[in-house]
Amino acid sequence: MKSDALLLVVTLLMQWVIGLGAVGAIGYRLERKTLLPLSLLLGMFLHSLSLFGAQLAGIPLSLQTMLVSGTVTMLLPLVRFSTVRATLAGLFDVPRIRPTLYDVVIAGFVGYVGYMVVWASWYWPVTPFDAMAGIDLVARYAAKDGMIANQVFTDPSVRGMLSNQPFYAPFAMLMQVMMKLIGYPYTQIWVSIVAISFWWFVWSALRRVVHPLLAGVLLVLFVLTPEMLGYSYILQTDFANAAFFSIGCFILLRAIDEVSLPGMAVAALAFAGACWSRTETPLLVVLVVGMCLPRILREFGAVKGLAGSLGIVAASSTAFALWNIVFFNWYLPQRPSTAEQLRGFDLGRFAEVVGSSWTSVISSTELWGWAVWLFLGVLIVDAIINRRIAQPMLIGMIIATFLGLFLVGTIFSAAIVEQTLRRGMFKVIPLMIVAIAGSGLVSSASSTLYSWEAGRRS
Amino acid sequence: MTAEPRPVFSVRGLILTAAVIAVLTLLVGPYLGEANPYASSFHARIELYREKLDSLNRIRGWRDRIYMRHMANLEIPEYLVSKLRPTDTLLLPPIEYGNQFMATKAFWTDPRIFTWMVGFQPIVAWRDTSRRNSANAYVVLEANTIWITRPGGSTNIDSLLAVYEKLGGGK
Repeated sequence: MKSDALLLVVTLLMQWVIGLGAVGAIGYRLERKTLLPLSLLLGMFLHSLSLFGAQLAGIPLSLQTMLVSGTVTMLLPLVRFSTVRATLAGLFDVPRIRPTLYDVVIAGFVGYVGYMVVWASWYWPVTPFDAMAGIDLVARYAAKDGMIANQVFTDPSVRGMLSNQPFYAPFAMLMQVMMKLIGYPYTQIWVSIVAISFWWFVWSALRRVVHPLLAGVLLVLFVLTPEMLGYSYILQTDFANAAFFSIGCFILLRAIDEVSLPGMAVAALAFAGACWSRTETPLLVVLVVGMCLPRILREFGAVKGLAGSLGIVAASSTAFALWNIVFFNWYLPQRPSTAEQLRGFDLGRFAEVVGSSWTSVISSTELWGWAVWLFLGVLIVDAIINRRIAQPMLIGMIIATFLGLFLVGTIFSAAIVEQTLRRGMFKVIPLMIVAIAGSGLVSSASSTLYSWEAGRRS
Repeated sequence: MTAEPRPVFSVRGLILTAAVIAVLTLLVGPYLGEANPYASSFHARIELYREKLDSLNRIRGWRDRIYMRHMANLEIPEYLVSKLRPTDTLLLPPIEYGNQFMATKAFWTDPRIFTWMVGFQPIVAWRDTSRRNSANAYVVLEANTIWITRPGGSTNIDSLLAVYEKLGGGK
C-alpha cells in the first residue's frame, strides 16, 4: 500500500475512533448499525474542529499537526473512561447477521454504486465552479502556506474578487486540507466516505421503522436521488451539511422519544457539525428545535427540556461563531460582505421565493426522483384513510426546514432559488424518505410483508 | 417497530428477491421511458464511468484528469502563462468575451479559477476596476486563435477594451 493510501486509512480510522469516543463519553447508547456511521461523520467533524483549533493557537497546518490534533481529540474522551467503556460495551461482539437473498441483492446494488462513487471521488479533480473558486482554492494554499489565512486572502490578483465562496464552508475546506496534507493534491475522496456513511445511517433509520425489503428499496431511492447522486462524489459542502443536519434531526427525534439528555447532546453535536459545514444552518437548527420545543418541555420537564434545547442552539451557535466571528474578526485579513447581502424581510418576496421554489425546485422529479411526490402521496393517503398523520414531529421538522430555506432565500440576496435552495433540499430529502417509511400506509405494508414472509396470517 | 425474525431462505423470500430485482431493473433500466428520472441520472453519473473504467484508469496523471474535466479552461491559462513576460500584468477579459469562442463557459476569465489552474500570476480581473489600469498585457481571442497583445503591438488596445466593455460592461 502506498504511504498516502496508508495515511488516508489511518486518518479515517482515527476519525472513526474520535466519533466513537465522543458518543461514548456522552453516554448515549446506540445500536451498532447506527453508531458506526454516526461516529465516522462526527469524528470527521471533530477532527476538522481540532485542526482548526490548532491553527487558532498559532500552530501551522502540516501532516504532523493533523495527526497530533487527531490523536489528542481521540484521547480526550478517555477522561470519562468508565462511561465510554459502558456505552461502547458490545461494540466488538460478533455480529449476528442473518441476511436473506433480497438483502444481499440490495446490499450488492448499493455496494456497486458506493464503489463507483468512491472511484469517481478519487479519480476526478474538483469540478464545480464554487468549489474551485472557494473551498479547494483556499485549501490548496492553506496546505501549502501552513495557514488558512493564506495568500488567497492577500494576493492582489484575487483578494478583491473572492465573493462568498471561500467563506462559508470550513468543514469541507478543512477536509480538503487534510486530503492534501495526506498527499492527495486534487482528490475529494472524503466526499464519498461522507456519502456512504450517510447512506448507512439512513438505512439504519429506515430499518428501525420498516421491513428490511422496504427499507432497502427506500434506501435505493434515496441513494439514486438524481440531484444528490452527483454530489456524493463531487466536492461541495451541501451533501455533508445535509448529512449532519438530517442526522441531528433523526437523533433529536429519537432522544425525545427516549427522553434521553445524552441523546440530545449527540444531536447537538450533529447540528454543530451542520453549522460548521454551512453558514446559514443555525437558522434552520433554531426553527427545528423551536418546533420541537413544546414536546421537549412536555417529555423532559421545563428545566431539563430548556437546558437541552438551549444546549443544541448553543453548540450550533458556537460552531458558527468560531468560524464566522472569531476567525473572521481576529485571524482573517479579509471578511465576506455577508452583512451587505442581508435584506429586510418582505412578505411579497417571501411568497415569490416559495412559489419559484415549488415550481422550479421542489416539485421537480428530475431533481428528486419520486421522493417528494411519494412523500406527499403517503401523507395525503394517511390523512384520508387513517385520519391521522404518522410521525408528526418529523413532518414538523420538514416544514420547519422548508420555512428556514424560504427565509434564507428571502433575506439573503446571494441565495438563488435554483442553486442555493436546490442544494438546501438535500437536507429535506432524507427526512422525507424516512417519513415515507414511517407513514401508516408503509407501516401496514411492512407488517403485512413480515407476516406473509413468515407464512402467517396478517 | 421491532424487527421480526425472517426465514433466511424460503420460497417467499425467493419471490421477494425476484421482486427486488425487478424493481431495481425497472429503476435503472430504460423500460419506463421519460417517466423514470432515475434511469438517466444513474446512467450519466454511474454507468457512464463503469463503461469507461478501464480506459479511464489508464490515464493516471493529474494534469490529464484535470484536462478531461476542464478542457480549454485549463489549456488557455496554461498557454497564457507560458507566453507571459516578467514585466507583464495580464488583464483577464470579461467572461462574455471568452464565451464567444468556447463551447463551455469561459471560467478561466475568473481570477480564482485562473489561479486554481496555474497558481498565482500577475493578473487583473476585468471586474477589478480599481486595478484594471495597472494591466499592460491583454488577451485577444479569435476563432481557434489566442494571443497576448501589448501596447505598441499590432492590435489596437483601445478597440479591444471597447469590445471588453461592450460585452462585459463597465464592471
